[in-house]
Amino acid sequence: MNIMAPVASSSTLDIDYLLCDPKEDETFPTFERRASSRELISKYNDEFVLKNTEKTYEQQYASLYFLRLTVLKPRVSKVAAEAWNGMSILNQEVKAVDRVLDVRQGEFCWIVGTVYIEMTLKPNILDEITKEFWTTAPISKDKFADPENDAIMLEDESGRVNLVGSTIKSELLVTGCVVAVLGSETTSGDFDVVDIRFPQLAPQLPRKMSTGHERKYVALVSGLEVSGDVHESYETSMLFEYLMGELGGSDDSKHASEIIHVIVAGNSFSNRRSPLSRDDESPDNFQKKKKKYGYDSSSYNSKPTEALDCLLADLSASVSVDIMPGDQDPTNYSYPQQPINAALVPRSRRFLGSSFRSVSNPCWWDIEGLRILGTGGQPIDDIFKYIEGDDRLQMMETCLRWQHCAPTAPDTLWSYPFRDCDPFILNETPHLFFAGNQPEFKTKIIVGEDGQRVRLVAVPKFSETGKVVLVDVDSLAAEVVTFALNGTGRD
Amino acid sequence: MTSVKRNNPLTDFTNIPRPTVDPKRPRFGGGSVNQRNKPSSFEEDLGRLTQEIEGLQGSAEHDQKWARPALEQFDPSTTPVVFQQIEAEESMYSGASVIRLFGVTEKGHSVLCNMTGFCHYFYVPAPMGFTREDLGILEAYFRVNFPTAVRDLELVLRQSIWGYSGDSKSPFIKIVAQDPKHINRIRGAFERGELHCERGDLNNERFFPFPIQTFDNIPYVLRALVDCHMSGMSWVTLPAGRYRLIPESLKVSSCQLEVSIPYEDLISHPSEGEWLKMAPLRILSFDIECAGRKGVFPEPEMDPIIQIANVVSRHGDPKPFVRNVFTLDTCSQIVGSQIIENMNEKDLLTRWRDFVREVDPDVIIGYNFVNFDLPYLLDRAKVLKLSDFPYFGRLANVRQEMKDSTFSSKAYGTRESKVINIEGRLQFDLLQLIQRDFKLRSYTLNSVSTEFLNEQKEDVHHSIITDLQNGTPESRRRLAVYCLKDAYLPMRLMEKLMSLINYTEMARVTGVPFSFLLSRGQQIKVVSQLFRKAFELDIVIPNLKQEGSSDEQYEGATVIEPLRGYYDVPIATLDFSSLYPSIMMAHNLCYTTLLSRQHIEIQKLQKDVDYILTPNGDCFVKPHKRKGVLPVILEELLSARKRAKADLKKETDPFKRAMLDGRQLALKVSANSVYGFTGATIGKLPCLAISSSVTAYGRQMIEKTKEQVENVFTVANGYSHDAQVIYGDTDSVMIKFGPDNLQECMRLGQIGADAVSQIFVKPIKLEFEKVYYPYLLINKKRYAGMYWTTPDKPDKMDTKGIETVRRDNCRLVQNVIETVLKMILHDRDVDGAQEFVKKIISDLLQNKIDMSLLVITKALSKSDYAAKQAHVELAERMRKRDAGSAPTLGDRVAYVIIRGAKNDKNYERSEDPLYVLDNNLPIDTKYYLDNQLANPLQRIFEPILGARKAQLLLTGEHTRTISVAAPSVGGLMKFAVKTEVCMGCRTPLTGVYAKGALCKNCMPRAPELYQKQLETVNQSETKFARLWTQCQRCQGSLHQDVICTSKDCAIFYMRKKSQKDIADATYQLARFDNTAW
Repeated sequence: MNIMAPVASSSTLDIDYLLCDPKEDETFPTFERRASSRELISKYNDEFVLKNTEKTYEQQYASLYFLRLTVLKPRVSKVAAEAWNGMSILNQEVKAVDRVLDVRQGEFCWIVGTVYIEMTLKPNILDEITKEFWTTAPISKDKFADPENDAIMLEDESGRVNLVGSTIKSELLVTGCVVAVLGSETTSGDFDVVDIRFPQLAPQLPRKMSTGHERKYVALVSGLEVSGDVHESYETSMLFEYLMGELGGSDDSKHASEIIHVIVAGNSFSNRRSPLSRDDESPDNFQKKKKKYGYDSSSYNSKPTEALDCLLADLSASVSVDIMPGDQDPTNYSYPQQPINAALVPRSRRFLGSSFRSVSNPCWWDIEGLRILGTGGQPIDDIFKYIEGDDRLQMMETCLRWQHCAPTAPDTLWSYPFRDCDPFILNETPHLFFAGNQPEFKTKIIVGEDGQRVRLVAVPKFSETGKVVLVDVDSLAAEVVTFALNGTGRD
Repeated sequence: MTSVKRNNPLTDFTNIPRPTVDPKRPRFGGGSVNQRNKPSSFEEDLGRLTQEIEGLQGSAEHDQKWARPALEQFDPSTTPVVFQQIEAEESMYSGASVIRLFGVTEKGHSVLCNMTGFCHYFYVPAPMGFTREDLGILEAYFRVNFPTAVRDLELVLRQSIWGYSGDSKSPFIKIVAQDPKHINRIRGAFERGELHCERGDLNNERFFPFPIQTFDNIPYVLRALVDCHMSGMSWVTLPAGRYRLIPESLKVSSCQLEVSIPYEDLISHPSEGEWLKMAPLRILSFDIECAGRKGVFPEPEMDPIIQIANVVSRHGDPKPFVRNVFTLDTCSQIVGSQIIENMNEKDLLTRWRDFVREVDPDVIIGYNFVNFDLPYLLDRAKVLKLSDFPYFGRLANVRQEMKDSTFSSKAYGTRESKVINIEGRLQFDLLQLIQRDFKLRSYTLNSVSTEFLNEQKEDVHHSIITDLQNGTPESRRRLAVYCLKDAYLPMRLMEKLMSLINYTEMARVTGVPFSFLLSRGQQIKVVSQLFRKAFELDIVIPNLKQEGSSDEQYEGATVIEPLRGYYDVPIATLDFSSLYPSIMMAHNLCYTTLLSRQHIEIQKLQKDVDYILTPNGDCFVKPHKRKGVLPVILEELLSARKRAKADLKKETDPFKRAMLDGRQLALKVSANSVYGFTGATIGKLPCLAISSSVTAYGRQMIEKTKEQVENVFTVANGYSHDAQVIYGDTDSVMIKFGPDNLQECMRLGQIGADAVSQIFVKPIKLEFEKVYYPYLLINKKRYAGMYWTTPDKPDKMDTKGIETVRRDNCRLVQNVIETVLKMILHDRDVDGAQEFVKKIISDLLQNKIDMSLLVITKALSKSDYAAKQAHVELAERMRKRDAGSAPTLGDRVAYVIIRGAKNDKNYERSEDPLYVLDNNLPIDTKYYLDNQLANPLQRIFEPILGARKAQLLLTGEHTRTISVAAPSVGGLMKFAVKTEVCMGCRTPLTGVYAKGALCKNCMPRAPELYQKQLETVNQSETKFARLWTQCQRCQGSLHQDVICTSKDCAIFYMRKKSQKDIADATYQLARFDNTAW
């Protein structure tokens, strides 16, 4: 894959130079993208990919929670035991109690279980269908947490217990995470928590540092929202030209050539209605439209799909690309999202098996030894709704410490009722953990107890920020390239 | 980075030793290291917990304190006993009749007090010329003919309540019985004319040659309460030195204090001021679970009791102090609750009985426990030959027995129920209460708690209960949690509805014992008040033979013919406050003021000076001649209500507020029931002259009001419009003043109310209360409107008589009607409402309405229905299909109407919704349109659009597209071969395309059709996830499968259907995977 670009001394190009004919002897340097390994980690990803024919819906969600607790309980118990065993309070040795309901009043102990938070504001489908049609205006709230009234509980298969105390109130917790708590049962039957432990970061594979001096980047972009309209965003064109090395001067081209892989992390299509919207049913909306009874073929808009297909096909000819679905994309809505059907992108499909892949959300990669876990952003967006605060990197970090990348599934993040596994459990800590479609670019490195180092990246929506994130495969450094037109008011 | 708001930043750190050097723990908002030298929350928590743990002796789960606080020694000669009496009953003590009062002191000690020396009595009018000397003759006669029955005879001056005959009193003989049980025999002798007592004069004439009317016939207990000025649930004081403590060895009850006192010495406190308080009554709420067999409702002869859950609280305490479950077999612990395991059922029952005795509840509550739980316990004990089980009342030697009773009341209808005597403990069945006081779609505990507590209750079908019982300690624990919840809910319902408080106040206001309120009708309350007043005034009340039939009717209230329509201008509503009571007061209508023509002539009374003639043609004397007893009672009730309301405004203590509010409500209800009492033809003291006159006045007043309003508010009188009364009913009139300005109409309403009030006798008062704007007047007693009391914003949407709560409607009807009304009235969008209706009808006919909205439920009560009914027929068919899962007596049967053969009756086309889902049976959408939606919609839209246009709503263009599901069972389907059709054009697929989704021609539309199918999948996926996670939340467990089968829950069928929908949708989507595109 060669990228041709005119030689220029700097990225500020001389207008006159551009306007004159090329000189006879003028040479153009060639930047070549290095071939690189970019595997999908199938032992994890295979669990995310579900065949339509194999999906069943007779089962309920209880098994998912059961499996989650079964896997995570020993892990968090280990952390808890190290912290608390041998400790004594009031001359009474703290002991582990295996089941939540075996807790006895008057003794200090620690227990492990799944957190459940009862929230009065949590959207409740029962309320929506039993109250009259008209009170079901789509919920516009973006936060459902109400610390005054929310009740935090810990449960296992034996039962649940209400957690109280200031420690628990100040802790970041969501329904579905597995934790250990130390405390004692009060007279009222609540469990007063004095300390809490998470499973902490899972083991991490050592990173192979490359010997060469070349830089290698993975590009992360999300929220392209390609519309296929005549007025397709100029920034989008610039982005694709850049990734293909056609934009800017040779410095830019060189930089672009160091991108060894592009991950398109969700919401690449625009105009797709979210399945949650109740537009059809809300009386306010249907009366505005002229009602057509029966089938209406005009509702389908093929432009976004076609336009994106063209862009991806072009890009795939130059660099390897993975496309991951987001909540607006044409695949199933519930988590994990299945790879977008390649049939929708007939041009790009030709690169299947070489430089184009359609992957699940979430997805695991191993790129030149860099282990990457990425999501389209839904787990973080969902957690955001049920806690106070808006530090998304903190949420991502905490997910890693819970060893679970989508704890709120299935309670509020709708998901497939898994029977045999909880694929969202993290058995290893990635080197790079990203979440797509976040409101703004954020990044940091976190370090675990056992020296695990993880680069966290909140990938912003391209359609709103014009930003793409480049992560250096070797140094884990993250940088941002912004595409903007002068005068559009963007930076 | 924004940091999170935290209540206490110090709580961020704990100083427990950690294994790692740099224990960087995730904290939201980034925990800062600087906080480490501050005292940690762990230390604080520890301090607090230390105290708490030291306070705990052993585990409270195992050691919940059941017994009452111990009674301290005291000296009866110096210490009075003060208690709130909760029950009064007739009893024997040292060979004489006494009134036994059960009660509780302020400190929570239980008391049994024998009120001695009170004798029952009645009156007969003394015959002409009857003298004191004659008393001796009569007494001697009784001694011979009714040995030991009569204790005393007295000649007294009394007045009969019936009719005005001047102020003079006449002689009555007061006959005091030795024992209350003799009284009816003596009374009967008088009433049948069987007394052969001769006057001892020459003619040997009899004193009572003919049958004679007797006076004052009320139960002994009530008589005693009336004469002692004691009302139900009131406080009494036994002054020091006047009562006698009954020694432990002679006690008959389990009460801590047993005393006796002569009735004259007992001080009864009116329930006012400090005596408004409540004793810390112990309230036990319990629920039993039985292990039934498949397909049969549990029967005590066969099916064991496996669990009894109990919750006990003290009235006024926020939380119950006992929570426990008695289980059969082992059971895992429940946090905060005591599990009492029993290895056999006999132990279970015996230990429960011991528990009840020890915890000694004053009130027993539950949900349908009077007709289910208690009878089951007693029957089961009989089957197990536990002869010492049924002794859990306060009287140690009185066995609990069960009797059938039929309670019939005009107001509440006829109900059969069981009556079980539990002496000294009040029984308060929340089901009975709610059935009495609220009109609901369904009375299952589930729907009642949804209604009042806004909480769904998991509903475990009784066939699953056995499986849970036969499982592990964990599964039994699950059952125990369920059982405990069922025991706790009645407690919470009672608190929420403030039933105990309201009923207590009702008992205090009307004076009847608490237990009468649920077991008797409305009349006894008026009787009690009447007797109390009569006792003060030396008035006696005739014992009327209960004759006449309930069919005897008199003209009721008037209704001004409604001018039906949709009014987009404010409609002012004027109400007569307490109409009937105020009529009775204004015109002095009473038994005691009723005049016969004869008396008018004898006493030469003058019309309108001395008496009035009611529009009904009856005459009553005016108050200056004599003030009626009923008006006096009403005045007292209403002024007491005014006082209570004034106090309520001032009171800040929530508990006292609740009491006062309960009181004013009780007073209002009592005032209103007086009129009904006079009109109750099979009642104690019916007097149609009063009740007919009251309604006649009412009719006249409504007419006068209409006339007055329409005469005053005219253009001629300088108003902008001619006012028009568009509707009036009983005590209110709706006036269209004309202006579309809300404020102006409110002003006119106020003027109108004041002006019209002038023409009526005080205290009749017309009040301006509210404006409806807009207002939809459908018919008599059927209307709806936005309700305004201030011009700023509407208070609510108010609907009357519009059948949204009728039980035989499916939920769709309720939803549609409510939405339509809201759109018409709240949004004033009539066009939108029409569009909405069209859309719904179109969806219905195209099978797009969720089936759970179409489910109709009915309880399967008796099996001997004369007419064939859909739910009965279905239950029978289900029994044939699978006896195990079929509904049994008492279950609610849910059904939908499916398409059938042309001449099938509706009841033949009912089907189990689950069966319909499984077999894809087609719903008879036409039935739902014609039999469920059409009428109510027609009614609403007709006044707005006119009949023709309203009809069009139900038959227009939108009803043309119809789709019907193809059933997967029955008929020809057995022979059919399934061929997939193209998802684009519906041609059958063959050859290479057979397994795919599309035909060759539709291939180019693949992305479009794929995404369309995807949309369907996504919608069903979302629905599936939301429904099943909601059920997990409701059942209170993530780790256990949902087993709830509550047919009343909106989710139940939807949940089932979503499983099917998503499987179907996914299957269809999968076809694209096999498509050669």
